[in-house]
Amino acid sequence: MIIAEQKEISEIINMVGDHRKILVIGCDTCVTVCLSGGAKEVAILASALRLAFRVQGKQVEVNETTIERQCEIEFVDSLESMAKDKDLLISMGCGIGVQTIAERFFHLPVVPALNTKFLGLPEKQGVWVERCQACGQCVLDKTGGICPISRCSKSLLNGPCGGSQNGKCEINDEIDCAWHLIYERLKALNRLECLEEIMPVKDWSTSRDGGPRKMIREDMCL
Amino acid sequence: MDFMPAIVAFCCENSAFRAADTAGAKQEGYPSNIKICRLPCSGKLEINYILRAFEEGADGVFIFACHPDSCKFLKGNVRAQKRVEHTGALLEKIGIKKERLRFFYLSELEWTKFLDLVQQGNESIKGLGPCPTKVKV
Amino acid sequence: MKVGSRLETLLTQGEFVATAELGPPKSADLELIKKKAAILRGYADAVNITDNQTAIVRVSSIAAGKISLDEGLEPIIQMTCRDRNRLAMQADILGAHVFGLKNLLCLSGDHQSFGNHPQAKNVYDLDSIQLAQMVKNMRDEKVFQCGDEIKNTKKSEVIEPRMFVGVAANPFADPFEFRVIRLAKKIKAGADFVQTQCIFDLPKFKEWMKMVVDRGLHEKVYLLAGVMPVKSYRVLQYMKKNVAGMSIPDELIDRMKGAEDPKAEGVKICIELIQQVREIEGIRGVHIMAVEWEAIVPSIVQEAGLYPRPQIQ
Repeated sequence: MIIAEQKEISEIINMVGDHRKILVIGCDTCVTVCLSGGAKEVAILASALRLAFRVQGKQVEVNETTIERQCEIEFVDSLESMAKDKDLLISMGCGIGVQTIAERFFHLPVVPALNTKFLGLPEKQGVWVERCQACGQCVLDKTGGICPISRCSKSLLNGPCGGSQNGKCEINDEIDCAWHLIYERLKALNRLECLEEIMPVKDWSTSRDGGPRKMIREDMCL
Repeated sequence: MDFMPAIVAFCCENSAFRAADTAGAKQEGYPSNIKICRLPCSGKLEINYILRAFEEGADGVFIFACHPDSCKFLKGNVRAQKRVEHTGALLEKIGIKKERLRFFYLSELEWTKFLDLVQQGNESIKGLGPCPTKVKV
Repeated sequence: MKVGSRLETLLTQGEFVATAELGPPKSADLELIKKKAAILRGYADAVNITDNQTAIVRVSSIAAGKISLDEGLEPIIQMTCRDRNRLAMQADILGAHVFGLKNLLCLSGDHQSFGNHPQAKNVYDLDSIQLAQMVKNMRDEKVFQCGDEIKNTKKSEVIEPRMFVGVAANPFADPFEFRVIRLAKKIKAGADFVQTQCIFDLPKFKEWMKMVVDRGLHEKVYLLAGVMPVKSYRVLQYMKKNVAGMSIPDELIDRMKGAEDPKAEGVKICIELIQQVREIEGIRGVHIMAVEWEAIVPSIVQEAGLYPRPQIQ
């Protein structure tokens, strides 16, 4: 899922500026699961904003709602009635959610309350880790199901650099060396010979380097 | 006229809620400006409960949890404490002094301590004056 | 011979080579490059010119390499994968050739979080093995990475950059058993010579070299053992604690601690290590990494019995 983190409240307050009628919009999908932009977090942010503006002596109306998915126009459509008398929308969705709302409500400003961070999973309660970089050409079959693109700090394709020590990355002890993990897993699978092959230069054009990406399935198009 | 703060106390029903009940029955200086909110465990405390209390006009919010290692649900009390710390930091950032939010450990039997704590807490909130959120817009 | 660089020639002659390192300045200081080059001239068969080492901005390795060449050194241009994509790498390789530079060391590069621009975007378009392969293919297949022939127009003649390809090997990083596999891959990719991470833990290095020799890798590539003179025990302690992929025995730290003249002791240890690695099967030379202490290299070379340096026959 998409992992996002709430921005500092001061930054959000700054983004509000002189707007007076605000709608804080949550999303029930990824950001609910990563505890950053679901109904609960919307309630906290809306409440904190109301308190902050009261302290500042400003009359600002802060309403709140949470929709199923901010990344689908059909769900964003349902905001129409609540959004129409507002002068600012605050999205607590990921960057996709913010943009879907911006597209749908062309004449209303929308600002992000979250920083979208990565594609990953909860490692344990309160801790999330990255697993995929959406490079568009999966190599997990060759690397024991562990992604060197997203999990090696240098996205190396042919084994660990000289900074791998005790299973950890050179940049800090909190990061596992992806290639150490790959080595251990391939050893367990009795497939160490995979490591002898030189992985060729990667075609990054399927990644972001090829420009904004688009996927079309003709069979599904109406 | 003396400023009388509005205080909301979130109390675990396994400890402080009973202590408060006893203190109330004894009629020995139980402050009238405290509103008790009963929680099934302090671990039920949500950040938003605290914020909403301030929104509804509280000048101070007190949280009473069971002593460490005495939580009926094992860790509800320590989790509540972490949430209170987090909320205190948030309050500071939006212009509300974190001293308006207090966290205490208390057992069911400590009703006199309950009274002491709320009276002291009351005084410190009085010292801080009305919460700035109550300023008329 | 593939390139005919001084380094390749001496290795082919069977000489025990000595390479050193020149760290370009963190300012546009031409004189400092010349000064460092003058110190090393005659004492090293080739000199690594570092490429934004530890991710700190410095005079580019190719510019400093060109100056060093003019000052009478044989430069080994270091190139990291951190700062350049394949276009910039190939452009720089062409440029290096045009300048008469003939040796290139292919490195992953320290992560930018260590340096003075930790907020930089890194590149890693290729990894060091893919870089080595690309440099070799440019030389031997005379093609760019994309497959195009290396010529200016369709009708022009092919003029390919010719580099003697070096790689690094770290016998002390983990997973230990993978390290030899990785070296084998680097050789398969096209490495002509290898410089190792600096050795402090001789037993571990010997263990690694045994694995290298068992696979016959020492016959496919010229292996140069890395050594580093240190000025104090604190340097060792610092590296042990903060530099990933280093193995530093406590005895060595204690020996430096107990020394009356730590600098002299550091040099002595370095010389002993040179003599010891020289005895190991498959070692064809030493790489002396006197980081920001270039001035000590001449006396190390002399005292290790490596002076005068051999001439090309």
